[in-house]
Amino acid sequence: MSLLDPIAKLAIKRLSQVKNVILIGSGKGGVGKSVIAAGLAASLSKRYEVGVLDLDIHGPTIPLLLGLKKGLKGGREGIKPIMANKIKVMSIAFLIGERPLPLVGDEKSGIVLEFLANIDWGALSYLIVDLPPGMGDEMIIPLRIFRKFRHGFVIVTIPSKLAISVARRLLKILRGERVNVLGLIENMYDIYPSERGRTELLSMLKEFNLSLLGRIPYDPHLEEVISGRNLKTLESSKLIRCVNIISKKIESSLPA
Amino acid sequence: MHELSLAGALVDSILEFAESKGARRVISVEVRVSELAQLDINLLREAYYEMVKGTIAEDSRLEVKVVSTEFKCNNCGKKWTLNDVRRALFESASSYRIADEDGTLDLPTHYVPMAVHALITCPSCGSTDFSANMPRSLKVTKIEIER
Repeated sequence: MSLLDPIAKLAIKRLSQVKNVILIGSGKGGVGKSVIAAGLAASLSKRYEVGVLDLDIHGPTIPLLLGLKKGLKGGREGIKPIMANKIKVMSIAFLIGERPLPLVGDEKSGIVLEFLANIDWGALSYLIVDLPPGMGDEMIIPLRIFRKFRHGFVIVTIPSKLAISVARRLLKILRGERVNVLGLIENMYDIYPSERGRTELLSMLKEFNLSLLGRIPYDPHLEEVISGRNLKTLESSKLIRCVNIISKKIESSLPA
Repeated sequence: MHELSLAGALVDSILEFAESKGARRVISVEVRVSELAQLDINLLREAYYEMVKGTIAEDSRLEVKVVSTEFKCNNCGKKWTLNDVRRALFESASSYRIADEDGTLDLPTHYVPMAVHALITCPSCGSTDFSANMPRSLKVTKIEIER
């Protein structure tokens, strides 16, 4: 990162009062990252100051999950996150609504950095970052910023050979970039009866010396939970009971 | 209002750079700012000169060039400027304006210029696939130091 890049410098400065950054990623889309990120934020916010950052600039869903739409306020230190009960929430959706955001090259890295540079998080014990799928600019640029802080990466996958092959590629990047990987969450494990995916997953855990943070079953009522569009319905879901156990493990790895 | 924090980050960046090069003083700094970001240049400049006081950049000259925004449609080839779509941008972003502490309502592009890609389309063919010339709100283009 260039010394002469004030926007990158500002992005780093904005995180100066954040004690821990928890990055939630999978490489592949559709495995449940955002729901788990929102669940972790809800769980940790019962005990700590928590923020959740939706970095999926092409498909932001955290506002949908938490029942938030718009109403940003700005100031000298940038844009203030919107509150969902005690959670500070920020998403590009608060700036553009439901419109698509097609971007390429420098425009993509530019928007990620400018976005990070303009969020006034204040003091937080945990900032949960819902990373986008893929391994391009939208994931690499934030990684360069976040790895400068006390951080932990949580991989989310489903026990499918396809998803695991992408998670392996992601893990190779994370290992090369010396990112602190806390472990893996196996999501929707009960709807994949084949033992092959599970065997593949266990082999990956062994190969990368990773711990399994938890297994989350498919919640058939999740769609209703999402349609409920508020934190209360999310907190009453089956998923959150599993996430509560996982959040304790994260806390012990990264104390507040 | 975020011009003040931009100025702070600019000063921190040039001081860090100058010190890494063993500079005794900073003579001049040139920055380009995006028209799309609609920054208050006077405020940026005032904040810069205030913040460099007591540093090796105290007597430096800050030159700010505002880069006009130019768009090009990747579908039909149409070129246009911010002036051509200012009204459309304002209307499209009206529900998402950001209230500042002083009561002004800023467009989302004030903070994140590339959000423009979600807020306008090509005025000729309606495509969302267009390029904009400056993806950052502020960029340092030149720094003159004395060793």
